[in-house]
Amino acid sequence: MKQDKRGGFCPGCRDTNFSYRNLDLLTKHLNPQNKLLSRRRTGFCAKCQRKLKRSVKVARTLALLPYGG
Amino acid sequence: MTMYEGMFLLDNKAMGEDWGASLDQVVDLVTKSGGTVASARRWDERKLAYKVNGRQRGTYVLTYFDADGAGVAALATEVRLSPMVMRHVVLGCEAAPEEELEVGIQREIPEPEPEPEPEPAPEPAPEPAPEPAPEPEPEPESPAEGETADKEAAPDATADADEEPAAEEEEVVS
Repeated sequence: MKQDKRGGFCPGCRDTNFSYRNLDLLTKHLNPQNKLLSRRRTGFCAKCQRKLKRSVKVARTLALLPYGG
Repeated sequence: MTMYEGMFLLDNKAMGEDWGASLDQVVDLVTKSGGTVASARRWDERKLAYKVNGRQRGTYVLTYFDADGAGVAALATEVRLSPMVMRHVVLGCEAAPEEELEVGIQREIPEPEPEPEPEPAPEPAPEPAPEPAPEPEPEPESPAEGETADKEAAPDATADADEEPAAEEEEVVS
C-alpha cells in the first residue's frame, strides 16, 4: 500500500470491491448532483480513483446510477 | 477464449411472464455470437435511475460466458437487434466467481430468503411495586386564614389612616 505525501493510506486499497454492482460504495462517492467526488474528497490513490470512475460510468450506462447534472 | 461478464437490462413488458423463456433468449444471444454461457441468473429487478425506452423499471441479467473478441462484437450486433434487451455491458474478467458457476443457468427465480424472526425480547424484570403515594394532608380551611389576615391587616390600615391627618395638622401648625 502506497503512502501519500501527507502520510495517509488510500482507503480503497484495503479489499475494496470496486464493482459497478456495488452501488453502496459508488453512491457514497457521488455528490448531491451525482457527480464523482474528487480525489481530495475521496482520499483514494490515483489507481483506486480510476477504478471508481470506471465503475460509476458503467453503472450509469446500465441506468443503475443517474448521470450528473 | 476469454471469460467475460455480461450484464443485460431487459424490458419488463417485452419479457412476458415466463422468466425461463426470457433467460433462454439472453443465453441464445450469447451462443449465437459464438460464446459459451457458464452462468446466467437474474441479478435484480429495480427502478431505473432514468427512463430507458420510456420504461422506468427493468430486470438485470448477470451472465458469465467464454468468447473471443469477434464474439463480443457479434454479441453487440445481436443485442441491438433484440427488442427485449435495452442496455448491455460486457466486461472482461479473469475467471467467473465460484458461487456464480454453482448457480449455472438459473431458470427459476429463487424465493427470497425469509427474514430471521426476531428473538422475543427478554421480559423486563418486574419492577418493584411503587410505594403508595403519601396521602395528601388535609388542607386547612382557607377562608379562616383569609379572615384572620384581613383582621390583622385592617387595624394597620386604620392606624395609617389615623396618622396621616395628624401629620397634615402638624404641618399646618408649623
